[in-house]
Amino acid sequence: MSLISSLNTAASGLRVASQGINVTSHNVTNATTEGYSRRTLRVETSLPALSGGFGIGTGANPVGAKRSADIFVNRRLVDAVGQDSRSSSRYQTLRTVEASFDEVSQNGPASLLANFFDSMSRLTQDPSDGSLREDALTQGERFTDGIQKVAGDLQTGRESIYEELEQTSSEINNRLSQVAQFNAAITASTTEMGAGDFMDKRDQLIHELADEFGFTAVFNGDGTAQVSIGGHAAVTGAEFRSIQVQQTAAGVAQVDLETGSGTVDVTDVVGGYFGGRLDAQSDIVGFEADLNTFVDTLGTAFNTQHAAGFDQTGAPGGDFFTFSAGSEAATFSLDTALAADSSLIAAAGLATAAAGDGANLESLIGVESQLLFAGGTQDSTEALGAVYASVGRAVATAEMDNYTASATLDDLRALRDAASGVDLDQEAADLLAWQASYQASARVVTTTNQMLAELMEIVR
Amino acid sequence: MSIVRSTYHSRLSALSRQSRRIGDQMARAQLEASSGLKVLRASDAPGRTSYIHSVRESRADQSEYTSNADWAFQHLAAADGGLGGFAQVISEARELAVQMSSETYNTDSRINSQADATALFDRAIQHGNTNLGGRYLFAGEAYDSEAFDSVTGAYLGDTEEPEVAVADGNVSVLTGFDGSNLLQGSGDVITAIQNLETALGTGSATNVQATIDELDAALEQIAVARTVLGGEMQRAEDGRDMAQNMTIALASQESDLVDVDAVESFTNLFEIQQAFEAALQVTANARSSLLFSRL
Repeated sequence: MSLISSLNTAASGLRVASQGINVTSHNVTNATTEGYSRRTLRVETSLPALSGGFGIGTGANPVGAKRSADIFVNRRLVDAVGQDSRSSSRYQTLRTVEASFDEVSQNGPASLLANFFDSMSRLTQDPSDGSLREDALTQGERFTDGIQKVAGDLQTGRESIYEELEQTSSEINNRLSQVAQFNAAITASTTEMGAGDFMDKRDQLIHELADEFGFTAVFNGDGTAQVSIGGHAAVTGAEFRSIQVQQTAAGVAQVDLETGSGTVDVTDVVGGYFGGRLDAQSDIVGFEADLNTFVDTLGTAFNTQHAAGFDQTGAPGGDFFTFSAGSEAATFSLDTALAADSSLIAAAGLATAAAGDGANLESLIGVESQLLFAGGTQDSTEALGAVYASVGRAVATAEMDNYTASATLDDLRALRDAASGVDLDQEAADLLAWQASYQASARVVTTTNQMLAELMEIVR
Repeated sequence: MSIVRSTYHSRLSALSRQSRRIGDQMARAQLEASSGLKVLRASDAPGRTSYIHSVRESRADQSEYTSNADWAFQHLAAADGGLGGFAQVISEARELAVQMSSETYNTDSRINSQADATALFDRAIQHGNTNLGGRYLFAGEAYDSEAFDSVTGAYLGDTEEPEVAVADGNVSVLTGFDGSNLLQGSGDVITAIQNLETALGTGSATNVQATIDELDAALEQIAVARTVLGGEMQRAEDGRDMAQNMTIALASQESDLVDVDAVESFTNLFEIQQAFEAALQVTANARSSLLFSRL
């Protein structure tokens, strides 16, 4: 083997060390880049050269930068990101809804219900007293306002989910399109380093899609990823299908995914952030139904009893409360005529009653404690408390789910980091190693150079 | 045994998450300590929410019962004052009857004293029309107008008596009375005085003598009425005491359900603060543990 060959062998060492420093630099630079997977320089020994019957080594060649990734962990991470996001958004949405019921200041519907019946109780002191009658109407109006406010908040919360979905759908479709484009770029890529960067960016997009919408991914052997939702493919290779959002007649959001022949309803299988929002939407629809049932039952019973009494003019009582079927809570209010004239409160039991006749008033107060709800097992306070409890249970469950999902995600992130994360200490050590390797190769070059110089001197 | 690789970034992320969780716990502990409440939202105790509302509703009811009982007691006390006046009038009428039934007095004296009986009648009507803030206490549910006619003494009120609730289970006390029943029962208070007035007008000692029994019966009627009224006052006081006791018991129950234990709360807050500071210190140390910084 010639000295020139030795020089070439040392030069290959310099190249490998330089590439090693490049890869380390790339790793260090992306140490905090979300979704980045650590690269390791792949080095191969050069084919030996035959010299005097011996196979002599000719150095090494850098052949690529291997991407450190655990496909199983990555796939589970995609699911976990979606679950965490889903439980978090459901929890946050329900917490906002829960605030409407106002447990802290005790100005929520439950307190206002008690205040209303207490004002009716005060009216028994003197059913002819105009100020007490006005107070009963005021407390009644506060109660109906309180119910309306909660119903309004629930409706706003429900509708905001549709609006947000609709506004975000184009962004989701854009990301699905980008994933398809990256799949195409990965397939077409000629270098391992380049394909790895495309994969990192695509995987980051998949994580965002999982995070936002609960898309899941399957990573194929050719480096491409198939993105699906509820078993329906949204991205296959370089092809993608878009989602569409519409509002149903019931006022709830519906999500459709394009298929080859039309669309398919995927509302129930949406996960991630919007899955959580849609879960909360179902919860809200349930709360609205509970509240409507409560208003319908209480309002009807109270109106029936009110009609059995007589107002101060001796006329039979009219409606005390009004509400519309299907939106009882949102339309709950005092009867317009009654609200304008407190003498129309039918407190008396007899048409020709004296001023102090509060016989019907006693019966009206009794409506509060009648077991009208839940199949005759709950009074009005318990029934409204049950609505509160239903909200509280949903929030508490969502909080616990979110805690569990968050802990799972943390574990998987740690696992992903263990497999793919950049450890700066290791990179520092690698840097020192590559530096030493470079210095050693350089020393071989200078030594070989000296030998060549001495050889030239002999020849001269 | 495999060792899970731990990176600088993951170590800091884990510490950051841990610090954030402790921070969340601290925020919650601060909220509880500052508000004094452990149930701030329905989700803090969903299983007890309905019960908490029932306790609060019961407390509000007790407050109304206390108010009703106080209100009833004031009106009953005013009515008792009216009955006391009645008793005084009837006593004076009886004294007049005893005096004028004596042969010591002549016919003219008796006729002249009729004016005294008329004055007593007017006073009796006045007491019969006792009112508190314009509410006539012996007019039954028709308490917005006088109970007795000032000329004829006829009862103008209602036979139904107003009442207010002072406890659960339809427990109520009267806040006014049917004057025709209370004052004109077995002994008719008004008629007894009217009869004395008439008897004095005849100048006959015998006629006057005959009214004494009626006046005795009237006095007995007043005594019975005061007993009835006293019973109602006692019930009103009982209702108020019961409501106040219930209020205290329910307040204690609500406190157990929703209030924090102050000592436990502040101890918990202190411990969490210590943990938070320790977590921050660990994070600071971890940040400086990097090989690059030593190259």
